[in-house]
Amino acid sequence: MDEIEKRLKREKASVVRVVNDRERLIAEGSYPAKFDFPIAMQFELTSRCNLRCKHCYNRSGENRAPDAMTGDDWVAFAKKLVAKGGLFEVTISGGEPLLLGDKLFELMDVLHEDNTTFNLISNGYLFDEKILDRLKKYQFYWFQISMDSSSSERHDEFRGVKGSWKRAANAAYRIALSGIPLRIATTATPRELDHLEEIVQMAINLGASYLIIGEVMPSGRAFDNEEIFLSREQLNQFYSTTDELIKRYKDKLSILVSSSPRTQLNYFSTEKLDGAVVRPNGDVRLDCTCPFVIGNVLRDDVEDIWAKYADCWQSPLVKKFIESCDPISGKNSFAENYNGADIYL
Amino acid sequence: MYRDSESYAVVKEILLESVPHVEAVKTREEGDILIVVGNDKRLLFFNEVAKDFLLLCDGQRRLQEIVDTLGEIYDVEKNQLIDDLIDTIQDLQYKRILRMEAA
Repeated sequence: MDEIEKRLKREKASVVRVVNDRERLIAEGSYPAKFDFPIAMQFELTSRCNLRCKHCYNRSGENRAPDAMTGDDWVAFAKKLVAKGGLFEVTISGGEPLLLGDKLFELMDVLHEDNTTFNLISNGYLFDEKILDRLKKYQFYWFQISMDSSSSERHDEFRGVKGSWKRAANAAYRIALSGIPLRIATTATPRELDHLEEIVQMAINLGASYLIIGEVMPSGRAFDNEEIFLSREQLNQFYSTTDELIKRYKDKLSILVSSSPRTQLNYFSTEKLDGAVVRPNGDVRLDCTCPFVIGNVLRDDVEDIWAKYADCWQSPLVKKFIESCDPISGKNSFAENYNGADIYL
Repeated sequence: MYRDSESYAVVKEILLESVPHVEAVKTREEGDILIVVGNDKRLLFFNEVAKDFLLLCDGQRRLQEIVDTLGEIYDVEKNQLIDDLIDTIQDLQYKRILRMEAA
């Protein structure tokens, strides 16, 4: 059994264990069988982006469709959510969410007053002291800065803009220094495979609490850059290297390795808790890794959209999508996420 | 058994005269379940009994008053109810979402 097979077996066992635990709690009356309203959501605030990363899963910055959700629409949407009980966790992403300017903070203020805790994903390019001062008051699980190499030259080439590594490193360091939990996210490409330990050391130096190392998601712009996907042999090396790094650095940094896309989808399809991604055009997707749209917040009531959420994961089309996901590469023979048309359920 | 001991009787007496304070950051009812995020940001789920108890913890009522109110809702012997609530309180304190204060 190679590292990939071991890994998949471990992931499968982990999903079964989580699902069984949850079913037991539901039977004991200690966990809801169904959620009337989401616990958590992801807001993709804008499709605009100041970088052009080779692996971008949703093709940000290509102006394929202008943002239909204005800053005021996001604020109004947040107010609606709060009026209905609010969310415990909101992940803010994009595109680059800092491009929203003052409206980002207006949106976060609405949720913050309702005691929502945030995750924020940024490339760090626009970060400065003024922004940091405004961010300090919010509760964060983590603030994620994406850094795809310990080499500024390789990072800048991957992200398409010279100087982006230096700005990301500066943002990361200042975030950690302020006490906000810093998460560095890095993408394992063939070129970085022999440099993963340097990335771990860089994350420690920058004061990160977490480092998440993920394979390239087979989605969007990544398909324009086939050379960034790991081969089977490289994937074996990736799993053995990351297992070793997790052990070696366990006292200094929490290193997380993303699950395979199929495992993630299998897990989400059983989950009744995390909810949906709201896109810059208002569409609500089941998840950022699959092309299914279940409503639009500019048109539909969020409670009506949510009522469909759990059932949609069990729809034949979604099941077919999950079954068509290659367990190793994650590539999907049924539909290509963010390249083909969205599928409306 | 500890619960038959003198020390448990004293602890029980002290607790019944204390006021429970909820330290949650955010709560939401989901049917019979109460969803809570505490100061450590962990998401916790509590069953109907713990939910009813937590919703009565307003920072004013003593535990004895809460026991009396719950005694009217649940068909359970009073001493059993107190023992169950003391277990629940310990669990909630361990999860850092409840603080007991002297009245």
